[in-house]
Amino acid sequence: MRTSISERALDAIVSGVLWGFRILIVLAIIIGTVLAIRAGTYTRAQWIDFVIFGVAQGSIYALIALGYTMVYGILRMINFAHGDIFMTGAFGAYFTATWLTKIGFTDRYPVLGLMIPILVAMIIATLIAMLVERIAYRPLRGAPRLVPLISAIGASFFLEYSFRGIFGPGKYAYPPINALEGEWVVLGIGILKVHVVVMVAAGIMMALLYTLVMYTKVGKAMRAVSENQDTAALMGIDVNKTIVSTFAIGAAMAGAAGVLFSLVYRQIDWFMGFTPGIKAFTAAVLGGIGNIPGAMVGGLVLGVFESVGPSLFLEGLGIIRPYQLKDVIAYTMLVMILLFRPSGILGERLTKQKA
Amino acid sequence: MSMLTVNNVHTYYGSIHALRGINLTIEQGEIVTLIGGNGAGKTTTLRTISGLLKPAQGEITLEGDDLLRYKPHEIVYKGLSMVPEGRGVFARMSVLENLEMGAFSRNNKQEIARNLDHVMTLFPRLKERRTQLAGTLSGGEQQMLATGRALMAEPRILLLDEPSMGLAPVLVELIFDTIVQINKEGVTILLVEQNALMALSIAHRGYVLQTGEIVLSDKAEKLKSDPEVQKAYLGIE
Ligand SMILES: Nc1ncnc2c1ncn2[C@@H]1O[C@H](COP(=O)(O)OP(=O)(O)O)[C@@H](O)[C@H]1O
Ligand SMILES: [Mg+2]
Repeated sequence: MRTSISERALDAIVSGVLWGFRILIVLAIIIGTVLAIRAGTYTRAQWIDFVIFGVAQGSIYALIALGYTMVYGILRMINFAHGDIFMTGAFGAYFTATWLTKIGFTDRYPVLGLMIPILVAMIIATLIAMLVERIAYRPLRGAPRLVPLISAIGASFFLEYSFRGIFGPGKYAYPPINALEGEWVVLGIGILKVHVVVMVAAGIMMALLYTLVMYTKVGKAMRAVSENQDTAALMGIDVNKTIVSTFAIGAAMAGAAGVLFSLVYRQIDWFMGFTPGIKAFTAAVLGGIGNIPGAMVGGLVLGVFESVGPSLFLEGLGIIRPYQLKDVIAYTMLVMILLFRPSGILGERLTKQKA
Repeated sequence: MSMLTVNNVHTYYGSIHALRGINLTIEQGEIVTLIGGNGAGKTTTLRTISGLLKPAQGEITLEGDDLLRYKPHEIVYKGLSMVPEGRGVFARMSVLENLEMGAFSRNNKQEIARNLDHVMTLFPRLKERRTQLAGTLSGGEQQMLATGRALMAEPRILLLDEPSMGLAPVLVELIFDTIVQINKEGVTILLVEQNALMALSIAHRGYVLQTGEIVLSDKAEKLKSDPEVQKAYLGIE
């Protein structure tokens, strides 16, 4: 009896602390925001810039997040190597784009000069993801859930250090596309051309993916398998093939995201998948892991929060050099969601059967 | 040649010996029922036949074709469909999408459309609810959907696992009437039931399963009047 009373007391304390934490963060955001707006350090145009950068960044997160969420939906597994799949795509695109630029192709045909590296990145990422699935995940299907997770972390290290071994620890400069230098003016707002390309390309990819999942036979098979593998097999659906398709499609999205990311940040290296990977995972959890529209929304919300947040509520609180804390925003968000709303923005509650 | 033969099948879950040498024969055009108490091994038998479980020993043939050679999704293409225990509808897909999934093994669009019409006439309720998510249907409607979905594959033999489970008596009657009709249209039926009285009243023959073994098999009327069966499964003292 006594233990149960003290346990209940402990529960109450924990829940009190959690509530305090939640209130504190909400207060900090509100106070910071009010102070920042009062201080008026930034102009309206600058705020708009922050938001646009956030949307561009967020659409890259969204593309990567789709792979996490789709694989989770079908296997209830976090594919920790997914960020590194993104990196392999970026490397494939780097070598293609560098060559295309060297022979003058990119300058003559900028649209193809953009699209060919994206295609190469998608193919390479897809092939590597299919290999990872075959070698590191499929043999462990049916094992306790921790086992494939450990294998995924192993696959992640394997990819990172293979690329480090082959291409060295240094950074490579991603070749710029000259036609994409400068800004376009849309509705009186100047937007970097690169950001427009990123948003449009990501938008097209996501629309394609959504159509595929909702309306094609493969997409419907993926949804059926994610609900119940045995019943899907009873329909005549090849479950293994469908799982491979899911990895492949998620990887293609990540590969494309790798190119868009490289266009914005202009440099690539063997470790570049790590941070965007965790951010995209956060986005997937934020939107409700397993939920495809959720991953898209989660990516955009996280991107904008990260971009606007430092100036909006961190600087307002008198924090110096708030931009260094932008990653903290993402990680704080991840912890907050896991604590307070594990189902995410659009997600359903994780039922026992699913967890 | 028999439609389906199950010969000396043993199935295990790890070290649990769930089926201990099952023998069954089903002829073309029959309704055969497999009755037995909770945990007797009825579901295990159906899951073994449809390929979801691999038996440790024994033979299963469909019109002479060795089914154990095939993966579960390949067996559908051989003309065998199953309605799983607890219906197993795809809750987050619409009624129509569920039915489309049932026709996954087929390619002829016209034939699929004709089948869809047929299922909609068998179960008009499904037509009314075709755009609704399957998870929002009532238990009876989900059973109709699961049955209709299995028919979309145009099977020659249909396995049903406790279609009456959890349904009100009126609905049970409706489902059983439909099973009889499906059978009249030429589909051979293997019906697993705990509701032994209902099952025996529509079946031609029956098997009684007890802790993984067939303990009785006979014409349905004979089983219905068997004192042992009456006592154990029909609640008649
Ligand atoms: N997934 C499983 N793991 C271990 N044992 C199981 C599993 N499924 C069924 N069993 C056991 O196998 C036996 C037969 O079960 P089942 O075929 O489901 O019976 P029924 O359908 O007749 O109620 C039971 O003893 C049950 O406990
Ligand atoms: Mg059962």
